[in-house]
Amino acid sequence: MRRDYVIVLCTIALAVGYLYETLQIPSLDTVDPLGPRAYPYLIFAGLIVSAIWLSLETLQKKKAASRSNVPAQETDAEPEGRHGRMLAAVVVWLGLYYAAIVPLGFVVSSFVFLVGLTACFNPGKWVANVLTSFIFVVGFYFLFTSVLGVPLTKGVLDF
Amino acid sequence: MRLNTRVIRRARSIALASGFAALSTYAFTANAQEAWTPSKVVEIVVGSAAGGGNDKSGRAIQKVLTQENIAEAVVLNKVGGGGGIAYGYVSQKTDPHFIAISQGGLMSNHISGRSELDPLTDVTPLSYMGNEAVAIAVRTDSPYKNIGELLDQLEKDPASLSISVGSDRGGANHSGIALLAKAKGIDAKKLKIVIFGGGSESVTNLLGGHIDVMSQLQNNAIPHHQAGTMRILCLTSAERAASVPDVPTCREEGYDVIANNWTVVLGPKNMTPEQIAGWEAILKRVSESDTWKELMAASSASNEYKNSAETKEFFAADYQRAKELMTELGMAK
Amino acid sequence: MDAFVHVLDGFSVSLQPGNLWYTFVGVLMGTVIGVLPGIGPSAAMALLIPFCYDLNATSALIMMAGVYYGAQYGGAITSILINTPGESSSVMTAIDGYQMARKGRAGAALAVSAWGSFIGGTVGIVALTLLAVPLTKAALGFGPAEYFMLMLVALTAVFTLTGTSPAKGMLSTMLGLTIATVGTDLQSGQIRYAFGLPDLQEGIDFIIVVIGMFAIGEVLSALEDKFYKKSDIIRLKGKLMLTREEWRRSAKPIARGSLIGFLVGVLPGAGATIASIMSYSVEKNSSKHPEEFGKGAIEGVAGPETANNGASTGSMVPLLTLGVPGSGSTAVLLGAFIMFGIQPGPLLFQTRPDLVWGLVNSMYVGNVMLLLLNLPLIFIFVRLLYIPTGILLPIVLVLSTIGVFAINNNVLELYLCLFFGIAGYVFRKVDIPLAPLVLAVVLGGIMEQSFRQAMTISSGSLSIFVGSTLTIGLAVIGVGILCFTFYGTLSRRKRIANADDN
Repeated sequence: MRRDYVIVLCTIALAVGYLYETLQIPSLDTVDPLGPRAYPYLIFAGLIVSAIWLSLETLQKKKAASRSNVPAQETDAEPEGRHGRMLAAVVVWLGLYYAAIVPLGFVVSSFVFLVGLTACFNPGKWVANVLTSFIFVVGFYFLFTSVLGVPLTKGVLDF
Repeated sequence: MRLNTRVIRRARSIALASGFAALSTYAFTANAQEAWTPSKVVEIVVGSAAGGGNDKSGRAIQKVLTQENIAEAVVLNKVGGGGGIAYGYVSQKTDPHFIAISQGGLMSNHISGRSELDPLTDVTPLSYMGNEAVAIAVRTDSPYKNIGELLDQLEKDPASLSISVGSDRGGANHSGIALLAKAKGIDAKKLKIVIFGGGSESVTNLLGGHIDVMSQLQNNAIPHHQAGTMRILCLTSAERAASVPDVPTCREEGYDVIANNWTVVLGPKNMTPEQIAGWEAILKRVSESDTWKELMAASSASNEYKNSAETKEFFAADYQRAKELMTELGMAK
Repeated sequence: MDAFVHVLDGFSVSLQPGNLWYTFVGVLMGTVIGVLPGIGPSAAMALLIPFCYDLNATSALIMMAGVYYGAQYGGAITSILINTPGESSSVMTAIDGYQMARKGRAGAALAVSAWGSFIGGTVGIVALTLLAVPLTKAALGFGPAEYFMLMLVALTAVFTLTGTSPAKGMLSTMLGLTIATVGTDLQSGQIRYAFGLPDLQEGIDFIIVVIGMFAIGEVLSALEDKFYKKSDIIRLKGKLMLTREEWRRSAKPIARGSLIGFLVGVLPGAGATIASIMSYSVEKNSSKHPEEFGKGAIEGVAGPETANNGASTGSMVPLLTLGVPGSGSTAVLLGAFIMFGIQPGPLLFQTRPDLVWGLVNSMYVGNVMLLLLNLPLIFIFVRLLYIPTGILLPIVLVLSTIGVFAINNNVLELYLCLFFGIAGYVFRKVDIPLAPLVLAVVLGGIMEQSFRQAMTISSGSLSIFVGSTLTIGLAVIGVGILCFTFYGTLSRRKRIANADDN
């Protein structure tokens, strides 16, 4: 239940931010009678309405749950936090990967990325991890650059 | 894949450029007395998605470079900022193997403040490769038989007819009809201009009866004029188009309006005279090739060529012209 | 019958050994491109152009067209196996297809998409052969007002996609519309919500949203499950191909999908993605068990996959009859026409009937080839599911990265994709449906622009929206769908309430 209220708050925050940005749009002499702000105003209204509706729905659910004496069986019974750190680490690792693609080149950065992740999630099977990573990265690199002719960054390697 | 001509040229330049070790390739060919030639893969950067206007030009150039063994070339699509990302990307390269295909958006991006890239100083214009005029067209069942009648109607009530200019706010299409209106003494800002996603949307909306007039690059209108479903009232070019010899130019109709969409090949901001001369020679060859001529003919475009210096002058003049028009239309920064 | 003669003539062109080879190369490449997320047929077609310089125009175009409709076959594969749509038009397939895979029915899902694609494509070509000209006339009747009404009708499909919480569905839709407004506003030329980044000025590419929310979001979710050892390798259950029951259930969705797909495809601007969304919604509405949708209903795979192939064939209609491209990929095809010195336009059927009919007939051949290619490949592809998740999930991440990067060589887009990936993960945790957002991103732009174009033409008068038979007809259909959906939901709720009370 609490989760849903968090959603409501985030939505309202987003809507306000969106409205602020909308007001920044310069309104010059435009060719159409509505201008670039009209539709965003509607979207703002829509976001607020959905936030209100969601709060109402959540209230209703709460009432219904307490009425029928069903215990709150939300999945927030899950231990929070532990997987959060793991996921955050994955996201950061992805971010580093993206940052490395141009300077280090596609092959090197993808290979390092894959070996890193497979080491964590497929632990112990070093040969399989490294071999698959290598074949996959090199294979796809050639598929894209030679067969499909799509340029991928070279970085430190020069082929 | 190494090309034989490159090896020969490199051998010659090593001989000429006394006693430099031939380890790196590009830097040393620039020191040679003769004009620069490409020594590795050329990247042709295009600011539109595959299939778009500049993309076709880019691929035609790629074709000529490859087929005539001038260089290996790839086309890189860098969509964004109305072409701005592509222009910016090439502008800051220090290597003359990067070129970009540009059209009028290069000017209007800067004038409207959308981009910081100054077309007169941040890029090197290498060659002007041709231009295409704008056609003012109506359906065949329209009551307007010539541009004069259309403009008379607009004089009476500027907002009485819906006119589509494709996606080209402030560009060649828009200036075509705006300048015609101006020539008749009508305030261009009062015209009812409808903006669509591109030329093809203009065509379908005109044929479907949803708009009254379209002002689009002529390749959009000519096939339909030939098929008898549209009537081109006039073309904003200096001469008639060979594919539709019965269509008058706006000048012939009494309205001295020239508006066209040009294609210019750009190089990075800083280039040496040898590099510029080298590209000029290559692009002149492209301009005279069958491939390029066919491309121009297919859109009934004019295969005009200007070298780098001439293009630079042209740019200065075109920037002024665009700035004046955009200021009048209220679109300048 | 005139058409019949042309069809036979066309076969004499398309069945030449050289052209058969080009068809094969084209469809093979198309399938590969379709499987790879991110990069789409337009890029592949453009890349083929240099290889075609020495070919004659017909052969070259046959090959390029093969890439185009071939990609609609491949897109389903990664959607079903790893929840990573290969094409925008395969997004709907991912919703139920992936769930089918998790239940062990991956083979069936892949089989029904291959068959559906084949039938959708073939029906489309027949319709193109017979109805191209009258359909074009009808399509021209769609102006901005009509497009707006059409988008509204399509948007009512949202109500079928919301699942248990309509409020969350609305929120999802609104968020999608928000994303659609980022970029340069076509009408005014003003840049909206780009925060000074030129990369955002053209808007956020739909495929980036999709890959982020579906692929990366799913990987993050799956990694979490793996952390708690909640998931095990899904073994294939039962028959590899379709059971009789599954065939029976798929028949009508395929029939409806072909029709919807082709008709939507003929309209310039509305493409395979919209067709697949509408097909999904129609199927959910027509089903006796709509609650199965989202959990692995085969109708949710059969319909959209048929529709997207029908639509890609339909998009060829305005290209061939008017010289007007209906979508990005057909625009590349148009460019190829010009590069080969062919003037596309209304006279193409008269000036180059050999080309047109050779091309159209190569599509019959190509579709057969694709079916023969894809069905055996199912055996190979389902083996992919046996790769340990610890290796498969990171590979999906790299694949998504290549896919996005290959579009524009733009690292910022990768970060944007990651952002949507995190958003996708969050959506899954808090039970916000993804489909309405996806729908809204696709439709939002067209809706807004059409509305304003129509208002410009009518000088601010709303009467243009009831001004033609088409607009009124669409309004009636839209209201009808809404009533039908609400009635359905209400009566279902009543039934459940009654069952609870008893």
